[in-house]
Amino acid sequence: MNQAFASIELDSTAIAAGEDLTGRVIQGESAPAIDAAVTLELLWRTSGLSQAEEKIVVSQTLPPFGAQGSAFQLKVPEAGPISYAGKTFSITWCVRIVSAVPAEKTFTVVPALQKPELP
Amino acid sequence: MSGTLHAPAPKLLRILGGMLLWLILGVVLWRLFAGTVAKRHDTLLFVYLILVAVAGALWLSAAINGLVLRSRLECPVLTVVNARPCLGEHVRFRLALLARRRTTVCKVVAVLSLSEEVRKARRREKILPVVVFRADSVLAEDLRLDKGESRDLPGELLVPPDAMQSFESHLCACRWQLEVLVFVGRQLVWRERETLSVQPVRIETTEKKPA
Repeated sequence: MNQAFASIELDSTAIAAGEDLTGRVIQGESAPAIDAAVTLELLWRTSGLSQAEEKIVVSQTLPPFGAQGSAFQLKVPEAGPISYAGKTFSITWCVRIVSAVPAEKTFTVVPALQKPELP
Repeated sequence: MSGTLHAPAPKLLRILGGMLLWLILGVVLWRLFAGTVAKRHDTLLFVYLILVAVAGALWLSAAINGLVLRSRLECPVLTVVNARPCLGEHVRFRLALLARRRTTVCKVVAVLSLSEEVRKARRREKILPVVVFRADSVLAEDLRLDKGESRDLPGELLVPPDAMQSFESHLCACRWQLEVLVFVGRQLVWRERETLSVQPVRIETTEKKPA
């Protein structure tokens, strides 16, 4: 197994809070087939004037896959937090593959669109 | 959600603390000048003591004036209609005023603010609050109230759609706060605060209103 050669492709890099993040974990072009389960983590982290913090929101195990890759679907919590770039700290969301050489992909969580009240 | 009484206890403590400070200062000056300098310069002692007394009296009168102005109104009650607004929604609230005596409220201002707070590390509790958003609205001006008269002041302020939601982690926080300031004369006499929980997703209404 060589997970270091795996990468992540996202269907969209801007997701509303409460919606599903979808994409695929794919094998590198010249990498050998991934023959073991791969753990995928959805997380946010803070950075700025304080020490960095990280919170894993969802963790999902993907079965072994070949050159065609493996699709995933992870739910971003309704409570967020949304992505943020403030004066003293920022919040960044990403999805990553847990391995000796981890791969990760950042994306943006935005507020959900408001729906009109029912009559 | 009702407003809480913030000011009376700290204000009383400040006044008592101030009086104690003046007392200590007076005693120190008395001992200083009576023991050494005053033997040769009695006039100087009295000049200094009079200055201290005048300054103390001014401070005390200002403090009492503040208390008198404050006592003209009952503690205002701030009620937030939607304390968990979504980004892009209005925060709706109302302030209930009740006059103990006939008075004119100079101005009532509502302030909505978002501040960032950061602790540098878990063990060093150094907090850096920075206000990143502030909006205000004047609810009333030159409001004349008779003794026992009450007034309900409604208001609303917009939470910008591109702002940050309420957030708190171990080291970082984004806090939304609604504050209502009541001025009588030029003096701020009451300050009521409520913390809001701003959400990124609107909680959908599932119940239909009857036809």
